[in-house]
This record gives sequence, C-alpha cells and structure tokens, in this order.
Amino acid sequence: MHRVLFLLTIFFISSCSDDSLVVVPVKDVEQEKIQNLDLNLNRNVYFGDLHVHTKYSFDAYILGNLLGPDEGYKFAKGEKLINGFGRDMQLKEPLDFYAITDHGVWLGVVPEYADPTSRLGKLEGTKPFHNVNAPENFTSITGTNRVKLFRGDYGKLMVTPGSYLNMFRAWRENNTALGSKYFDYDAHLSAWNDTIKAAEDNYEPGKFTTFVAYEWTVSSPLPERASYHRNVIFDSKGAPKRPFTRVDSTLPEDLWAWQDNLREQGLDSLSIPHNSNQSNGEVFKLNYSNGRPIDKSYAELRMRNEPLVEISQIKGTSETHPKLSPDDEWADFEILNTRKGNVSQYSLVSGSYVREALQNGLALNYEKRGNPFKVGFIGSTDTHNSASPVDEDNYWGGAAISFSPDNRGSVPYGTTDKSLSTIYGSGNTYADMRGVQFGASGIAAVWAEQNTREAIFAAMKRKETYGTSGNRIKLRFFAGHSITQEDLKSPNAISVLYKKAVPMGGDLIKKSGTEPSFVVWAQKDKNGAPLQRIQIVKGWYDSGWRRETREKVYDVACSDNLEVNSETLRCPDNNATVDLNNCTISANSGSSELRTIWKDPDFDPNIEAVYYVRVLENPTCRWTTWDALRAGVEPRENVPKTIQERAWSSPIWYKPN
Amino acid sequence: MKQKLLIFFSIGLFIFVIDVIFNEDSPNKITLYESELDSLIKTWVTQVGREPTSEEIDGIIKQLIDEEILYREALKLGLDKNDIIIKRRLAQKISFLKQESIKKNPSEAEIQDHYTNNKQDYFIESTYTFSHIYFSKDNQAQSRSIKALQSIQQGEEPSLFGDPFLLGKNFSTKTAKELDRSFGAEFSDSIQNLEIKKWDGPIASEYGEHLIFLNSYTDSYLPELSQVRSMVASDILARDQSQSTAKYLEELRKEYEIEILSDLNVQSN
Repeated sequence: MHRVLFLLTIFFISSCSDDSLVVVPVKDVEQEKIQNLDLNLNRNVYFGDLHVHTKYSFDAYILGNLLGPDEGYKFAKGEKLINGFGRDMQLKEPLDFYAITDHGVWLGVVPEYADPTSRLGKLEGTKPFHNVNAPENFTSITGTNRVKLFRGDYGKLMVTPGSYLNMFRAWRENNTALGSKYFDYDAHLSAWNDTIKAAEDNYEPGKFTTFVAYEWTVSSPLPERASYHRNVIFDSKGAPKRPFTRVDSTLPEDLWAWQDNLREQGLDSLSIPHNSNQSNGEVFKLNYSNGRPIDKSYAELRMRNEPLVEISQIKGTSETHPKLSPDDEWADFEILNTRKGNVSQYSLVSGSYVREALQNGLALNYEKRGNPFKVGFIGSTDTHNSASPVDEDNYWGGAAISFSPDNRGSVPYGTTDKSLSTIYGSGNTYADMRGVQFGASGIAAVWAEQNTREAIFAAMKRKETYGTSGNRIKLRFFAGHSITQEDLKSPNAISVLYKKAVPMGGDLIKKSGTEPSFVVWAQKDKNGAPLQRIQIVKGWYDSGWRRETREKVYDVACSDNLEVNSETLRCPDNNATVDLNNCTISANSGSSELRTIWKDPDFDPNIEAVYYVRVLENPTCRWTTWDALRAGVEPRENVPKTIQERAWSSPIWYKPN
Repeated sequence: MKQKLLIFFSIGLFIFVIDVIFNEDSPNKITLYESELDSLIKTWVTQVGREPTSEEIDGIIKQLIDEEILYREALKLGLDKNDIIIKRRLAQKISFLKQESIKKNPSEAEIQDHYTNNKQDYFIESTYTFSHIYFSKDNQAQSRSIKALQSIQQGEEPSLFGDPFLLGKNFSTKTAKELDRSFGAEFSDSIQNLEIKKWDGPIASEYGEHLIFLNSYTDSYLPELSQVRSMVASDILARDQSQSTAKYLEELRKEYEIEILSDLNVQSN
C-alpha cells in the first residue's frame, strides 16, 4: 500500500518538463574586460572553424578520436595535438574563433559502450564496441570494423527500446532518448556540460572566441536516407540544459521553433546547414517537411534562425554543380556526389547547391512567397579529429582512422602502411573514391569590430561573412550607388565605403536614376598561392515568357595587370603552372592583391538580383598529389591533381522596391 | 513572501509525507535532513542563478530520493565492486579531499614570492599602435614609397600618397604575432627598428611596401603585482594542490606492498 502511495506521490509531483527548453547560464566574462578592448569600426577579419567533432561524437569516437573539446580549442589556439594513431596535427597559424559541434544525438554515450565496466558496457549489445579504442586497437586493420560499428551496430542500438520504466521517463520528461535501452542520460549530460565548460574556459575576449554549439544530425528514413544536418551555434550567453536532437524531432521546422522558444527566453542561436551537396535535394527543397509548398511564414521562420550556410567543407563543396551551371568553367570544384547516410547512392543535384537556392529564393519572392534562401556563406571543416585539416600540404583526413594516405585513398593499400598489404595485397587496390573526394577545406571568415562573442555573432547574423576552401584570403565586397574611383584610391577607402555602401550580406535598395557599383577587393593568403582572378556571380529570376531562374559569371579583376575580355567576360590565361614533380608553383604569375569597381553590364533596375564574389588562387597541388609525391607513387588516376583554392563572399541583394 | 511561504510549506509537506510513508522502521527507510536539502538548494541556486520554484524544489527532492533508492539497490546487488568508474571516482574524491584541506588563501608573502620567482609567466607582450601608407607590390612599391617619404619629410601632406590597404590604415595595440598574421612574416621584425612619432620606413610586407608613423610602442613588461594578484594566487593554489596530492600519495605508497602476478601465478595459487 505504502509503495503504491509513494509511486502515486512521485507521479503527482512530477510535471512534464523538457530539459531541452531549460536555459542554464554560461559563466560570464567580466564586462569590464570587454569594454577595454579596441573597437575597429572599419572591422577586422577573423578566421575560424564552426564545425568540429570530438570524442563525444559517436562516429568520431568509433573512428578513433580520443581528443575532447578542450583539446580542440587548444589546437585552434596553435597547440600541436597527436591523434590516437600518432598523427601530429598543428595549424600553420592559430585561428581566431572555434566552435565544438559534436553530434547532439547520443552525445557522449558511445564511449560508455566501449567501457566494459560501465552500465551500458555490461549490456549484451555493446560487446562489439568494447575496447574499440584500447591502445592495441589503433591500427589500420581495425578500420573496417570501426566503419561497420558506426554504420551498422550503433544505429541498431540507438533504436532498441528500453524497459517500461525507461519509456515512462521518456514520456514524462519529453525526452525520447530516455526510452532507449542504450542511452545514458548522465553520460550525455556530463559530455554536454564538459562541452560548455571548454567553451567557457577557452574564451579570451579580444584574442580568441568560442561558442557553445552542437550538431543537429538528421536524415530522412530509409530507403532515401538523405541528410539535412545543421549546426546550432548559441550566442553563448547561456545554453540549453541538453541539446535538441533527431530523437526529439527530425523536422527542421521543429528545430527552428525550438530556437524561437529559446530566443524568447533570451538565448539567441543560429542553425547552419552543411553538406547540402549530400542532402539529395533536401536542404533547399521548395516544400515544408509535410510536402506543402513553402510560403511567407516558412521563409520568415527559416530566415529568423538560419541566415548562413556552410558552402565548403571536408565532405565537398556546395556552391554549385556542373549540371546546374554548365556555363561556369569553375563549377566542377571539389564535388562529392554521394549521399551522407547512404554512401552508395548519388545525391540529387537540384535542391542540394546554394547558387541554385539563391536564385530559387528570388523566384519565390517574385511569387510573393517570401525568400527562405536569403543566406550568407561560411566555410568550416566538419573534422571528426578535433582539429581542422585545412592545408593541402598537411592533410590528416576527416577522422582519426584517415591518418595514413592508404586509408584516405590517395595511394594504393600497402604503400605506406604495410599492415594493410596482408589484406589487400600490394600494388593496386585503393580505398573507395569517396575518401579522395574529401577535401582539405574550409574556413569561416567574419568581419567584426572586435574578437568577442557579441561582435562575431552579430556579424554572422548580418551575414558579413565569407567562406574559403581552407585558405585565408582576405576579401571585402561592397555595393553602393555613389561610389567613385576616387573613393577607392583614398587611404580612407574603407571608412568611406562603410558610409556610402553596404557590405557583403546586405541589401542594396533601388535608387532611381543611378546604377549600383560593386567594389571587390582581395588580398592573397600569406601562406597561400597568389590570386588569379576575382569573379562576380549574378543570379536572378526571369519573369518573362521563359519563367526561369538565371545565372551569369563575370570575371571582374585579373592578375598580372591583365584585362577582362569584353566578349568572353573572362581574364586571359595568366600562365600559372604547377610542377607535379615537386609541387612548386610558377613564381612570376598571379597577384598579391586585386581590387576593382564593377558595374553590371546587364543591369535592369526593375529586377531583383543577387550578387556574390568568387576569388580564385593560382592552381596548387591537391592533397592527394602531395600524399602520392611523399609516398613516391603516381597520383591516383581520375582524381584532379591540382586545385584552385577559392573564397566565396556572402551575397549582396539588389532590391528594386 | 508568498512564494517563500509556499516553498516552506511544500518542503514541510513533503518531509511529512516521506515520514509517514517510511514510518515503519524498515531497512528501507530513507531519512532526509533539512540541512542536506538546504545545501542541495544552495547548489541549485549557484548553478541556475535564482531561487527554485516550489515545483523545482519538489523535483530536487524527488531526484534525491530516486537516487538514494537506486543507490541502495545497487549496493545490495554489490554493483560497487570492481567497477572502474567507482574506483576512479573514489580515488578522485580522496585527492580532492586532500586538496580541499589545504585550500586556504595564500599569504601576502607567498604571493610576493611566487610572483618574483615566476616572472616569466606574467609578462605582457609588446604592442604597436601606428598608421601606415601602403604601396602595392603590383605598382613599383619600392621607388614610389621612397619618393613619397622624401616628399613627406619636405612637408607634403602624407594623405596624398599611397594605395588604400584592405585592412585599413590605422592599427591599434597589435602584438608582433598579430602583425605577422596581417602583414606577413618579417613585418614585426622590421617595425621594431623604426623611430617613434615620425614617418619612417619603408618596410616590406607580403603585399608591398609601407611607410609607418609609429604612434606608440609599449615594450613587453611585467605588470605590477597588484594587477595580476588574483592570477598569482590561483596559480599558487593549483601548485599546492598538485604538490599535496603527490606528497600524500608518496607517504601512502610506503604503507603498501605491491606485488605483480602473472595470470599463471594467480591460477597456481
């Protein structure tokens, strides 16, 4: 009797709470410290990575990552890390900001599987995971098993239901994960709290900025299995008590509603989609999740929460695809053509690339349905190694197990790693093509007044950002109605431009009787190749009889004082070369800086249009070529030997009304 | 006030309910002490930054009871034996305990001492504040910059010369490392040889040549103790804690006899 009474009491007092909606404070920095920092109204450029996985991500851990969030931040500040397989990882230059974005789903739980003495480790299903990262298992031949664990076993455990008590708790606390037999809320919270703490401990206003963040990792069900993941970056004045994950909902609309809810409580956040290239058309589709065509309120909901997209990262670049942009000679760049959750199937092209989305946004807006794709760009890596591999000549792969060239597919199995020849023989078997489609990319660049959370977060919200394929090109982009050549020659050019023009990410409103001028200005990365050309990509909606979206690529500035050919709209060849025998590049071509004012020769004052900048470097060796060169073998066939590193500015939108 | 009463009432009610439920003097009796609850609430307040509502207090109590029940059941089943996590936790606990015991504020003399002996940890890097005139590499940087410097020295207006620079013309309190990241590797080496408060140069960067008006330069310096006192104090604490744990372990090791057996030996035993 007493027992029943007791249970009833417990039941009575427990309200349906949801931890994901509870905001916990994050340790405050002394405001005085921030007030004493310099504020540059002409803005500084800061480089960072907003997509980093550590040992708390299920896949990163299974693939051999033992490094946590704190180590990740130390890496970004310039320290050398060594991964489990013994690979050194260090940046040429420290980064200015960094966010650890572990998979929210099962965050911190899989290391429990690997420990045979833990509660979950004692369950039958976790046996295959036991000691996966014991010292003796850091060998190449464990690779196959590791991949099987994270592609197969892990998924099965996740959806194994627990006891009725588990179910009851899951229902009562509105936390579906608690219903799984293979979930541990304590381990989950402890990993999340450690993530928050690492962000607190490593934030140095003025020097180095961190954000509390995680990844909302979601795919559509089999057989389609298209992924539409987002990173959620908090302004970091607080943090939710637990992340909202795929087990809470697989619909982006629900994620945005959750962000709205937290914003009302004073905690602002951005969600940033990535790998739209692998989404099979999901990320930029023209429907609500339930299939209804999108409308104005969808556009508003999405834009409130999702002003940026990640345009480039390790698993491919999402700018555009040769099928979408047949007239763009540079469209075939770092394309990864398969789906994420279903790597043996191609990803649909339409709906997966940002340039098409920018144009579709204008078409939707023309139809008075709002513009849900008015997005700015960043790059980031998506490293699962806690450390960003962004240099072609020092690439350590996206996961710890990719530590050797053999495992990443750039050289035949057994070339540098003899242990693999016992399985694959020696000589000519390569790892699959997907590995070599991975790239040493990307970087997020932000124009902000100072290196603080407030300034960088605000810059991201106004889209004054750009993305790069891993380099640190410096890039300014402005549009205005009354900019003159004189303005651009003045030593005060920057402050004049901020007065007279809008920077990248902004809207330029029509002014009768004038045509807009665009200022593009880039400096090479001091550790990178010289610049080859600057281009402007224009997109618009042709509402005439053709009723279709259109795009055009203009070369606007050429290196070596060359002039754009007015017929072809292209720069003449600057004869830059790469010597594939040693990866040296020609010394006498390319520029350290390019700058120009450009007017759109096809400008129509009554048509809404979107413009963004693409800067191209001279070609250099791709990481696959560097790997082969060092191993003393020929570069792999059917893989580009060189790469033209680049930067993409956030667009400027011309608004006719 | 009303809120507080409500909280007080609900705590009271709850303890009463618990008391009634477990009044039989069974081994399954769980006794809660108000002091225990108080300290839990205090922790909650420091974590969340406000007083808990009565519902939240109920939640805290419920959690406490749940935990206690599960804990006792686990003990009954002997789950605490041979659990590496528990082992580690207990080991951690005792080392914390030792650390807590020496957690006192370091004395003035200690602080002074530590600061004097570890000056290298507290240096502030040197910084440069300057304006520059930039001459692009692509347009005869060397000759134009030298000519411009001569003209400026003869009294011409500096703003008449040079090309605009992407990062602007004024740089405030930048360290050598920051300059090298913006301008290229030798820039900070060159700038430290320039004279202050006059146009000087040119010096080379990745992008061309620069004439520099160095407004101010602050040498790297050791801040006064008063400016870094709290940093020094926490460093002392961290040092003492690690030393005391080490010392404690050292003493304990003497009391233990350690024997490493191969599995074979274990079996033959």
